[in-house]
Amino acid sequence: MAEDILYHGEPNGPSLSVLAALAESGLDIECRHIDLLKGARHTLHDAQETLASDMAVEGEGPILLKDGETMSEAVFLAQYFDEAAGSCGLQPKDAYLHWEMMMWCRQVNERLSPAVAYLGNLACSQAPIAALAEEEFAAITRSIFSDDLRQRWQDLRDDVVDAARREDSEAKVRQFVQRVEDKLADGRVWLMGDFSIADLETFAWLRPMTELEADAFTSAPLCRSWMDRLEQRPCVQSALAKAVTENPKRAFAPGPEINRWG
Amino acid sequence: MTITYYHAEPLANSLKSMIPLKEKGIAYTSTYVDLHKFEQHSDWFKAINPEGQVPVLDHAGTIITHTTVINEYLEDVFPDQQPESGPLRPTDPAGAARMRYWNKFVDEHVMNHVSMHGWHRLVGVIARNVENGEFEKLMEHVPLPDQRKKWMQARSGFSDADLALATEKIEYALNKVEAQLGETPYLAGTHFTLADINFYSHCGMMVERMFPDLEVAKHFPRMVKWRDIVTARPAVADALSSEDRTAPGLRTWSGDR
Repeated sequence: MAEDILYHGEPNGPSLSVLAALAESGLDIECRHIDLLKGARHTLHDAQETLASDMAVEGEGPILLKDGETMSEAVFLAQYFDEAAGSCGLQPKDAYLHWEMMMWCRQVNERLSPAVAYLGNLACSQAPIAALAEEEFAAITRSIFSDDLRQRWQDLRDDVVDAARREDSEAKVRQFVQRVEDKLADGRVWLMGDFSIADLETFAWLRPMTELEADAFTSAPLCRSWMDRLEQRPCVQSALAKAVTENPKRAFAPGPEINRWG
Repeated sequence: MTITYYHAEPLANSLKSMIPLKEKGIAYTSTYVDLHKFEQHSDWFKAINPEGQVPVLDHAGTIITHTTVINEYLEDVFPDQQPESGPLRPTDPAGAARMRYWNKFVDEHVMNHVSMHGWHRLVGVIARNVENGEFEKLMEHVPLPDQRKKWMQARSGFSDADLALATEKIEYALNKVEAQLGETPYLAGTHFTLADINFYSHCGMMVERMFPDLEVAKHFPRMVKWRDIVTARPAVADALSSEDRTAPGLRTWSGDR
């Protein structure tokens, strides 16, 4: 049986949260760094065209290759690690708190991550994608199954900027910082009380915003100290140590986008 | 431990969490919320769910919302009450992950597109029928800003381009489902799971009626066979025969244009 391999990008966004969840679970899974901005995720050796790669709801997140099957989506991978490790404490055991954590992660996935990905890609990845040679870019888009995801690559290359979407994204980041601030207002250390996937997932997407949308954090002292605590947590440190660039906060590749009409 | 389920017609979201209740044989009190009368925005209902949306599960005073998460909550609380076909959430971690991809796909890339057509047909009829002034007053009671926007838009109607794009996405999803059902009998593998319940409730059960132009029977035969198998499950049939007060003139959401 083939060994499991976790293919990941720079520790930012989904790659950061999944690497940290893996470290927290203590599972022994080989990690391989790939260049997401070169489309490496779509041409993995031994990967079949399976469900996860075809879904691509999350965009260019990490992929766990397990017996030829690809698994993706940061939150689900974190849940998988927790469950495969026989409950390592990443998910609350209480059904209500578990529901609350999953609701929270859904809010991150539906509101925060598309917003961060939109702003981050425009700021950091638009130019490198536009600079790719025609042939190289065509090879990447040919390898992508999902029409939606391919379109997001194309829009970035063509520098399609939607002012309303940018504004909406900035607002969503500010709102989410406030949401974290409100959640921590009762003095709790972690979002769900105990440490959980909700902390990792939220932190992983907010971390790059501390540079790109710094103003969003100015009146959120509780959120800032919560982020400091996460930054120091060993599993996050271990994930950040896998960076190969100087500033992984600027590492973006086309990310999640969902229907924003309602 | 008393359970009350607040819901509208057995369709889409309201059906999606009703099926697991029936499949798991969980006794519950049903409370119908009349969307045609905007009851979900009334004070009594907002006291239960401040977001003003159905369905809601009240589990001994604890309020649980959002169908995908309600359904996982039911798995957490009642892990041993399962239909004969097996657990609604696979017990192996990889199987659970597969079920979750499908749920996410349906939630983010299917539900909203079908829903746009549904809103356009049904909600547009309701909203346009409300006299000017009256409608604005009703909107003041809608708690979520995004939801308010939806109502306003439904009232003015969606553009043909938006509707065509939504239809295209639905066709894309049907192709994906058809391909998966060529590999496995159910979406997440060998067993009937929450993923099947999700796609069935938001798309599978009504897509043929709603979109005759897609020629569903001809192009998606495996999906049709799967749909009929799901419809024939006693728990699903039981849910489908539950309260439907949709005024006949408004049965456009899941029916013909």
